[in-house]
Amino acid sequence: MALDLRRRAFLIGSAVVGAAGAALYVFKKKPPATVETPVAPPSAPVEPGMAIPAGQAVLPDRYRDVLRAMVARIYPDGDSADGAVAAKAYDYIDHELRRSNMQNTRRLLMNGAVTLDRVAFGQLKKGFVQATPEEQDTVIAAVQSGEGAPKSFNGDDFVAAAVAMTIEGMFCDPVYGGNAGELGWKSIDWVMQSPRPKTP
Amino acid sequence: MSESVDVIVVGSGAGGGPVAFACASAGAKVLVLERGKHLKREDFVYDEIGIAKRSVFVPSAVTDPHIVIHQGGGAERTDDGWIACCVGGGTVHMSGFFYRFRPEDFRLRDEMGPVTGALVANWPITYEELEPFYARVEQIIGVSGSAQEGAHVSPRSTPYPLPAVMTHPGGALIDKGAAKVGAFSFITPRAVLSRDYDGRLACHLHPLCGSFGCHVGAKSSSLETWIPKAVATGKCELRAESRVVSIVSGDDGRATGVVYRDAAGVDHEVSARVVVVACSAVETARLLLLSKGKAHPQGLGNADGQIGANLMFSTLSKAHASFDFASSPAMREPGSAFLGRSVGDYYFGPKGVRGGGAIAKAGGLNFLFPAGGPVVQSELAATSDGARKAVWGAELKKKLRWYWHEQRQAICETFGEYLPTAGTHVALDGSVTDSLGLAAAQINVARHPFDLEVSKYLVDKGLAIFQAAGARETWTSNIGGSTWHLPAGTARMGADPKTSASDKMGRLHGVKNVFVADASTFATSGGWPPTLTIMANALRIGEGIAAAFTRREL
Repeated sequence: MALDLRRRAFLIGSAVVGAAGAALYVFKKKPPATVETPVAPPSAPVEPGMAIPAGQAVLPDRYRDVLRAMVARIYPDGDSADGAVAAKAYDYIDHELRRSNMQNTRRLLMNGAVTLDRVAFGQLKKGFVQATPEEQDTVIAAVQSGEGAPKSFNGDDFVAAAVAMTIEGMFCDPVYGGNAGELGWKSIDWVMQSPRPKTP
Repeated sequence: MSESVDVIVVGSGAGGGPVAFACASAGAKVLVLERGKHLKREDFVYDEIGIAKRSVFVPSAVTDPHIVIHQGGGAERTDDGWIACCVGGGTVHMSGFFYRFRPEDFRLRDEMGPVTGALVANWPITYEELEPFYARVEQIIGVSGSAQEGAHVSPRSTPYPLPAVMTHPGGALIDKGAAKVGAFSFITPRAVLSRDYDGRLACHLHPLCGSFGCHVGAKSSSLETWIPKAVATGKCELRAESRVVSIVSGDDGRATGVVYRDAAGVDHEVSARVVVVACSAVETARLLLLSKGKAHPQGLGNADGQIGANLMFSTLSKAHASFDFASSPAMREPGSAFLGRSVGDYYFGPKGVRGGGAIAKAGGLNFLFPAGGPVVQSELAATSDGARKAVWGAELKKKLRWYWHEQRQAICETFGEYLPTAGTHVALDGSVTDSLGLAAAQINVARHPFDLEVSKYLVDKGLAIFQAAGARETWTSNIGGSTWHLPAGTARMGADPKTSASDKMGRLHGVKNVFVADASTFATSGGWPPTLTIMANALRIGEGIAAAFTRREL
């Protein structure tokens, strides 16, 4: 997984600073350092990136649409419009990916979107966006298990990153552009107490 | 140098705050230089994305990286090893679990005997010497705890100044589980106000606490306590966004002052009779190594290569539990988000766990609810036990319904001893620089096999307590991990310059007027989170400096 996504896990959860990063531990997938299993952590490059201003595309339109469609399947509507589309989770992701230190995540999601489209064409003879929701689920599962990807691309990491960002888009403070109408919070009976952020 | 003070304190957190307070209270002219911003209560909002997902408190690995090299592995550019850079440091957003170390921690080399491959040492001070400072820190900043912990913790000369913070009814399940396995759980002491204290408001039990700053000031951080108390003496000035780039020394080896860069990028040189370094153990070592001079060609106080050596963290592992609301209705109850139980019965494990010594040092167990709010906890739910692939689609929604409506999860964090080894140390990286062009800290890690043994031992105890408490499901994560934000040992106190970097008063060997006052001075990692011990030791060191001034030794 891109280092900038893993490292956003805050000061990893333990006593002095709290456990807010605990959940992200699992996304980090960084095995504990032990003498039994010497760790060779991924040497993911972190390069200073540039922020992308509002009005400028984060991803090419085609792959933005692929990613948006994927997010809709990660947190789909149920019997009512209670999913990522209604909560505008992708609006959050689009906003978040503009930050300068998200360069590696942008690259990961871009590569993932390309892979989704390639696998869709291979399996279905049509693009990911044109596939039915059920077909899209099949393609996501295939990519998650490593199908259709070059060795340098980890489909599991890609899906994990997309899931993490979709969850953020579902449950963030609405000031960040997602969780429209506090849809996510309402779904889990969460009442966010004040003071809350006024700006993202 | 046009500006001159008595004492420059580099860093304003758990180490720097007490030193500034002690020296200023004694009449010394003190300047505290803090590289981070001076955030105020009104800056602390409950913004899970901003706080928990954007690492607003720590520098970016892009611009100010640490380089971590595990034995046998490659180099990783990371923000591991950083703690908050703001006035108050990591205490600003700590959970505030404030335990004392045990007396045996201070004589661990004697207690354990020789351990092959480890650089275990005794502290040059005893628990009994530090105890009065523990007591005073608790009183000065406001620590809340319960007398019921009794003999299960370190001896105390004074009661807690405040009763324990209200805990969740689910804590009773942990009490029951601990009792079933023959252990005793006590309410975790916290640097959080259970009642109004010293002009600050009591904790209002906000569901988001650990990792967040407190907007009512109930968290007894250095920001809320030591620093304002030091400034109130009229003898201490605080300068935020002032990043010390070098400690300047003369040909005689004494420090003459520091150079710092302000927020506008302008360098300033300030002279001082004493410089105290308290930047957290990785950055303290880095600053000392960067501060070369004619008399210190290998870095300040590094004639024997001891700066950066003996790096430790805590050996952190986690036992997790899910309690069904149906079978554990107490967990459904609203109320405090603070589960708040600790178990110290396994602080010393059975002989053989650590091997080689008279006792087998292990560590403490801290039971808590997962911190964070809907974002962080939902991500936890999405990955469950950490071994599976992330779930998505209908399965994700089902998982979240279960997570938020049918059960409550708890975590047992274990704080095992972390043995220092020759391969675990801080150095300057030869190729990576920070945003100022200075060599980045290189964190080398070569774990001792005992750490893993202890981690397994402790996490099994946590699992047993959860299971006895009625948990429906239990699992573990992070076995043998590290508390990356709690570094220690890189300027270890000791009598011998060949095996330590500073004397028992925190003064660098070979540099008469430079002191270290953070966890860098620790000889052992301890078996609980170290923040209270950092403060107590820093207060001791600060009062030692003040006394030396009085004796005209500095």
